[in-house]
Amino acid sequence: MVSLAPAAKPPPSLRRYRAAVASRTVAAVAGGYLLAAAGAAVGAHAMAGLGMPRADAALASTLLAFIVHAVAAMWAFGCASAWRAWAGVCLPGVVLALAAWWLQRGGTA
Amino acid sequence: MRPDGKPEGLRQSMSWLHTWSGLLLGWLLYAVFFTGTLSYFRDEIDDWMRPELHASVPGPETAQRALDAMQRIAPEATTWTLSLPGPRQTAVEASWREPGAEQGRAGLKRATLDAATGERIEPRETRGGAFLYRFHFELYAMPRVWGRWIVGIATMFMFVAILSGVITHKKIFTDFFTFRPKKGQRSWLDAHIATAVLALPFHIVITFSGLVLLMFMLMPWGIQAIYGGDTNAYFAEVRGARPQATAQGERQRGGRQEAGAAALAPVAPLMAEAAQRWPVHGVGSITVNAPGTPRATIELREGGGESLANRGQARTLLFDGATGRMRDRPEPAAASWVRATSNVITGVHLGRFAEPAVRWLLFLSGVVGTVMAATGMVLWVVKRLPERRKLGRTPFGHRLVEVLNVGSIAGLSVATAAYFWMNRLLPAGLEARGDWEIRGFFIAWLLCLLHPLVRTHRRAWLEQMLLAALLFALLPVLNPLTGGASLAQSVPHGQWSIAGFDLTMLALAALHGWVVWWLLRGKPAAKPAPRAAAPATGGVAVKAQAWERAQ
Amino acid sequence: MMAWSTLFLAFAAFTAIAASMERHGDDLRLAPQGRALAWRAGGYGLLAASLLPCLARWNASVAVTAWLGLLTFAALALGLLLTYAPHAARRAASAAGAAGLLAALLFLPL
Repeated sequence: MVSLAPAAKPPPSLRRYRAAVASRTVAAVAGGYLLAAAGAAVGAHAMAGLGMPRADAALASTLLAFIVHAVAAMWAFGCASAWRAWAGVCLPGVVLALAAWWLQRGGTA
Repeated sequence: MRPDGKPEGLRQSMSWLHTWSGLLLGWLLYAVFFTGTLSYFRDEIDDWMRPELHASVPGPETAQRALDAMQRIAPEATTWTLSLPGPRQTAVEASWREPGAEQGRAGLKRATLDAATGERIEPRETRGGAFLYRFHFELYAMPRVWGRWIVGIATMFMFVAILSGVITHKKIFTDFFTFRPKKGQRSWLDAHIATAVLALPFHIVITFSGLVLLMFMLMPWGIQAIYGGDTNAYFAEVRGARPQATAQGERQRGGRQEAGAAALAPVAPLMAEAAQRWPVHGVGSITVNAPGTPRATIELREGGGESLANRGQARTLLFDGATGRMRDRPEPAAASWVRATSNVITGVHLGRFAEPAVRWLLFLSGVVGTVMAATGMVLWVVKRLPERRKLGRTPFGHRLVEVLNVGSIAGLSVATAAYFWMNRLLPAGLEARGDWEIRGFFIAWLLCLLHPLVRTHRRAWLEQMLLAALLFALLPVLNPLTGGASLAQSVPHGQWSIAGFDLTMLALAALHGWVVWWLLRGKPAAKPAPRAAAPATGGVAVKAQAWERAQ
Repeated sequence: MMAWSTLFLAFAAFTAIAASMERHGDDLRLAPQGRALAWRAGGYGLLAASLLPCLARWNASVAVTAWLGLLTFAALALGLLLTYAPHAARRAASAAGAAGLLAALLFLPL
């Protein structure tokens, strides 16, 4: 929120701050969405596998996915560092995405 | 997040997140909230914006007259549907399908009928309340999917803003009834918190259900995982719990007309039977299948929903068309708990079930939410005034927020009022007048975004709020002068859609007028002097004074 | 009528809860003094009871929706009263409680 002062480059602390914000934002928005989407897919399979009617499993996992995305976004900004944001959001997101892909291919549900 | 990178607690980080997730898309969210709140009354707006309908006064004969009129207008049709007048609608909206017509909306023909005589009315072309409703989730002038994505993303920002706001609010119970006026930033914060916390269940449900309503686009992956690409199977299975009004299944496609016309039984006793069973909503619509044939059926549909668990679906009664005898219908199966949960929250959002009392509660809660969004945006500016005083000038970012605040908050009120004014000022026969009304809305809004660039912040608010107040206040006067029913007519006749609109415009005028009064009353006692006196060089002190005068 | 009943009862209930709070206790001077917990419990109890008129009129899901909406405006009204006319709050709450109860009993749809 600094005004557009002419000349000087931003000091290193400000650059670091902006980089951290950008990094956490990517984790929150993109990583969070990946986590939520993959979670929806895996969750739907899981709930259906546990006996929930198919349509209900699909619907329930979708509703939960929105909450997951919001919580992931909050965590990405609430945790101690940008690295942790990536570790806590994007990493599980990738793992779940792989699980979803494997389930889709007909892995033992 | 701190620029110096030091660690901070959860409340502080959520406060940062709340500010940014709220501010970045706050102007869009304000518009979504504002148009959404108005959309609860879209039927009423439709009525007011077609003054040709205002002579239509409903009475006990309305249903029969309308059915007789349909016999004249569309005797060969395969179905007639009549949406009956009530507290939200002053005329009969008829639609029908001719034999051989296309499926879906394309095959429907429509007409508006006078409620007393059954005569056809030719109202002026207008998008009416539908423009505001569609803008609410699809915006305008872009492919629908883009609009929905933009609003969908904004909704997720809103959801995060709400949740982070709750986490960051330390004294949510202690401060529950607290409002401290005349204390500058503290008062704005109290107002923002009060409007947020006191209607918190509404805000959470509205925002979350907004996401759910767009879920097929935003988050299709759960359905995708189980159903592959076959979304029809999902819809079928999910509706399997709610068989659609079976009359539709009985409807004849393509209109095989049997030999022997049969007159329709008089509808009054059917209406009486329904009114007895549905004291809250009454009869909302009548659908006649295969009229004029021995197989005709008459289906009465309740004017609202009694339970949200089935998404506020209205109950129906089916009668034999020729004899007027009631037919038994199987009860629709109850929805699963997952489905019921989804139905309840989306039902609250859409409000289609709601009778006037509940509809007003939803509308007023929406007003509270709109004020919450506005106070949040203003709070951001007010909070940074001390920082600006110290600097002696206004940074670009702050000025940007100021200008956008006025233009998108006060400006939206002006634009909406302008939309209604255009509806009456443009000639009824004008080509594409619906589009011109909407252009008027956007032109007014654009001017309101440019106006604050050339005025001081305070003046900009004052002038736009004053303009909005005047435009709203004069609408009930403009109404009868341009062919509509004045309050002196609509109230005694019980035409609450029209009267309600006029009265609500007066209330909006009062609200905007109150803001004008508050702005004119003077600023709260600020304390700039000691701060400027301290380490200030002459230059900074002079700058600070000049800055103060400019406000 | 049931909606008004809920609104008034909720207003009275919120006042009782506010009276048990440190910040508003002085304005709302209760008798006997110092029974803050009892007032708070009573307030919450009355708040829950204010749901009943809604349930009498509407189906459960609609009733809860209407109730939460009415709570918003009852709380808003009390907040404004405590800010601008705290001395009137006690009398207003008693009147509201009585009116709410009366409305519910007289007009209860059976």
